[in-house]
Amino acid sequence: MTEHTVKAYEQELRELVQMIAEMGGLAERQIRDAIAALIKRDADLANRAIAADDAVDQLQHRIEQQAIHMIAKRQPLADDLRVIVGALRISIDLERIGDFAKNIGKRMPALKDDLYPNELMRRLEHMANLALAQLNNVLDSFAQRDSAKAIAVWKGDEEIDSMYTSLFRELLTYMMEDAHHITFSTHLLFCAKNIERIGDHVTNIAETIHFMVEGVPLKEERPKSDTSSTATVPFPA
Amino acid sequence: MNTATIDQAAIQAVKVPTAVVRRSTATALSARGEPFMWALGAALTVGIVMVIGFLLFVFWNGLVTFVPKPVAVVTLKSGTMVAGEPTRSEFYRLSPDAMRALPPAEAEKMATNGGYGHRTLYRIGNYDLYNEDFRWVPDHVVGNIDYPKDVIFVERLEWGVFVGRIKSVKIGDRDLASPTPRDPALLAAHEEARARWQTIRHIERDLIGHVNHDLEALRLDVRHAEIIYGPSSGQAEKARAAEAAQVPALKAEYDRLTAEAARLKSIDQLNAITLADIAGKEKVLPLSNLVRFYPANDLSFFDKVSIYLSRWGEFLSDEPREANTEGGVLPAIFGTVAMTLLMVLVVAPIGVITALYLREYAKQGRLVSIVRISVNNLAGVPSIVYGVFGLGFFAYGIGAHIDDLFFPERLPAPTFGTGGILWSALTLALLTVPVVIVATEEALAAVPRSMREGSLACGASKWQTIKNIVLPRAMPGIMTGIILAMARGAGEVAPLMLVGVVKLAPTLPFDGYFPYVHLERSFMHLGFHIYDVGFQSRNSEAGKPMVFVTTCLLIGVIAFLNLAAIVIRSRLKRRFAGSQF
Amino acid sequence: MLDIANVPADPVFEPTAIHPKRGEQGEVIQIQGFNLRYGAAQALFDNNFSIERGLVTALIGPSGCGKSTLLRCFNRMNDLIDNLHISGHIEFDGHDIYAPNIDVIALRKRMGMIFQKPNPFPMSIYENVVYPLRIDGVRSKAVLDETCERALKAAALWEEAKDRLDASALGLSGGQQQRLCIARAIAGDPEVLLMDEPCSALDPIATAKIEEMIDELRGRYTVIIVTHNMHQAVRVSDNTAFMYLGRLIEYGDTHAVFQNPQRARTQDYVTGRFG
Repeated sequence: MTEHTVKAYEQELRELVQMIAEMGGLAERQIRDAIAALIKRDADLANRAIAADDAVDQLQHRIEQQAIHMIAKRQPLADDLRVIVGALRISIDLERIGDFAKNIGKRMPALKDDLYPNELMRRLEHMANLALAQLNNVLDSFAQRDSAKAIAVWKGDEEIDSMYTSLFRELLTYMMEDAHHITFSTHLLFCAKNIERIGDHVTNIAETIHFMVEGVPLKEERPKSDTSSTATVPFPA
Repeated sequence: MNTATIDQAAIQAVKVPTAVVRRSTATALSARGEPFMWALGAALTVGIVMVIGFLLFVFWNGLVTFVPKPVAVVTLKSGTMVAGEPTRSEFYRLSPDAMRALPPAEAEKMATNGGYGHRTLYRIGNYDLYNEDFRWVPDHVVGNIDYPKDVIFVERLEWGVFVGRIKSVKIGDRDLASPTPRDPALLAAHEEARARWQTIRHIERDLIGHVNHDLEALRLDVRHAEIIYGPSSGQAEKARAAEAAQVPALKAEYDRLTAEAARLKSIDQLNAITLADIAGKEKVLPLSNLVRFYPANDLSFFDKVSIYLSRWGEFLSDEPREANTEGGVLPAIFGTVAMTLLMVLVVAPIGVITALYLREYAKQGRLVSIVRISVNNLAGVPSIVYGVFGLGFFAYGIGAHIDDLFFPERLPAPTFGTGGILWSALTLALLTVPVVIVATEEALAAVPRSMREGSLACGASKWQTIKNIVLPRAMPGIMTGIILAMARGAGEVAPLMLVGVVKLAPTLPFDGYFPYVHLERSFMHLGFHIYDVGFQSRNSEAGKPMVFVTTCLLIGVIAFLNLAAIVIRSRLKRRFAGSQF
Repeated sequence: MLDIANVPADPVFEPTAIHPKRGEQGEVIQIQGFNLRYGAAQALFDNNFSIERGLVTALIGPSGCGKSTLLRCFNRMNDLIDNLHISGHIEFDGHDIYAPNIDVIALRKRMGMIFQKPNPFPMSIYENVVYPLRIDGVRSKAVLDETCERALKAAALWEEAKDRLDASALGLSGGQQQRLCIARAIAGDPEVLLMDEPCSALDPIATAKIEEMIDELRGRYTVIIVTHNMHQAVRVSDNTAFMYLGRLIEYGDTHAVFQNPQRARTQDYVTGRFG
């Protein structure tokens, strides 16, 4: 595609896109650090995850400023407008993702001293890796303006949702077995919920990217496999 | 982060040019153009000075002409007396014969002056007595110059000016011996004589002329009927009968008027004046023959002013006499203005409509360009050629046909088949039409296209657009063209000499007889009058002052016509703000 | 948090209140296979589209794309140019306007045209407005007065001009003169208003007044506006046609053309990527 006649316009768009990429990278690292902090029970990693949220927030503000400035100054139309509005939405989603990662990191002190089965941790880690992969793919699809990839990500959320539902059930079972399990189970539950929410936000980003590229919103019903809201576990007799 | 790297090698490779062109900070004189401004200013000044100088020269000479001058009586050394108005003086070279004829004392004086003498020109009048109006008197033959109070300057109906004294006056059966020029009885008798003369003229010219006109009309009716219907036709018979019926009454009237005129003339003869010139030669004249007389050396300032004004009045309202060197130029003024207005009436519509067609309606192509070039070249044709064309085509061509068709009874005397005011106006219209066409085309082209498109987009037809928008907007420019045409046409004389201007026209083109406007009549023209008076008259010295006065008048008339047109144009301009012209 | 699925369709291009429904009044001008040539240079190539009655249609495109040329074909103002050759049809109200027996003057009376540079006549304001009636031969002062008032009110000039109807039109400001030209066009009660870049010579306030007026004219008149200013096209028009080098590239609903253009060239033009 040819460049804008006004080079400064082109430059501003490039900066916007770069900031999104940067924000995405920061968010990714945040999630990675937070999960690693839980697994290795490392306080430094946790603090790093928490501290990184500042940068993410700042970037979100800068992206917002840049987008508003460009709308006023350049009066964008067609795909330029979609890119700018899209970047605005994506920045909000990424900021929430950063918040969730921070939340996970915050729970590290509470889980540090508890003994819980590695099995649970591994499943949490697996879920987190899935979410990370989703985030990575969606950021790729943003960089490449690839709506097919975005749709793939959009569909991939199903897996995270199912994993969350099964983990939910399992943690409920643990909690019912022994009251001593309740503490770590609740924290793990929240962590899992956070990861599931991260996945949802990644899906939001994917929908935005599809609108950005195609110009029409995704019409289909998002496949939802999160039945946790109706999940019940019968109390063992 | 700045990712561009500075390529040091590239910078080194570019060499700074060593030869630097020196640019001065002051602007060159030729670039500033001041010398050209000064040169242009000088040229403009020279032009303006020349025009103003010419106008001043003409106006001064013209305005001074009618001032009554004193009459000098010069007694020559030989004893002869010369009396007259001193007109001008000059230095001149004596001929060898004249030098030899000088007495020795004078010859010596002459030699010391390098052979140049000084002489004065006197207007002695009395052409009928001496066969010359002016005489040169060299200074060296002058004995004595006197300005006697009783010498009078007389303007006469015939033979020009008389300079001399009054010997005696006969009024009816009274005699006045050596009356002064201010004698009240003389003045009263003179007034009466002039009034009587006017009456005689009125009877002869107007009343008898009227009778003659009626007689002529009857005769022409008969001729007309005979030519059209045949000599023995019923209409001819009727015409002859009408003529026979009316002729006796007319002839009776004619006789009565003639008798009345004769009676008055005989009374007139009883009032006579005997004038004696400075040498004593006598001349008897009827009192009515004197137009004006006054004691030239005995005038108060008020007298001079009143004579001056009365001469101007006569000039502007009277007819010429003495071969146009005296009297008034009213017919010429009338002819000039009438012909110019007629010319404008013809040239304005033709020029404007032609320009409209060329600019708006004709398909722009080779043919239209040729027409336009031809029209522009018409402006370069010498005006005398137009005169020849006018004579040949209008007068002898169309005029002859008109005569055959409408005025057969007057033949062989041509009506339209010869020069007249109509053909003159048409000829000059042809001469000036390129000016109008060019100015109109420019004015039409200056109307912005956007205005025309606006009108067309409203659903106006092309003609409506032209009538409502284009023409009003172009009108100031068109008026400019008409003003230029009028100025050019009013001043052209050469073509007129061939197509209708005469030295002396018996009647004006407008009079009281149907159809009131007689376009076939010849007329007089101020421009031609100047030429005639200055170069064709018997007496060019007498004519010179008249040339100046008539030139003043012609300039005044043209200026007035132009001023009127300019006033009209500025009114139009105010209505349509934004016009370029 | 934005819920993308439920975001209202086009929040940026909110349609105005008075908006005749699409397709309700039918098509007023149909262009079929229209070509135009000045001598050897071809200016319009095979244009095919239709103008809907009662709506505002914008013609946009870079300089020299033929949008003004096409506009001037609608009321046959291009007839003033020599060496003009056209082929194809333009049908106005079902009649081919280039048929040999068409009364061009009657055609022009059914269309009003407004030009880029305001062109009031050097007459009073009143005379300017009633000019179309005068050339029709209307003399009744009552009719002329009433038409003048109605047209000036429709052009949003009545309040400013009613006290000086006899003053020269040339004394008005640029924006007022343009509104006067619009009043003059409306006075003849046309069906279609053709506007050739009416605001390019005007300041933003005058431009806004004219855009407001176009909004109010919608429904009663069909307006075709040629404009260089894309945002003006977005603001005032219902349909937009994008032309390039004499060809029609894209035509459709304004919202669609500017938000999601189908052709790459349209996209490049509206986003300022033209070379």
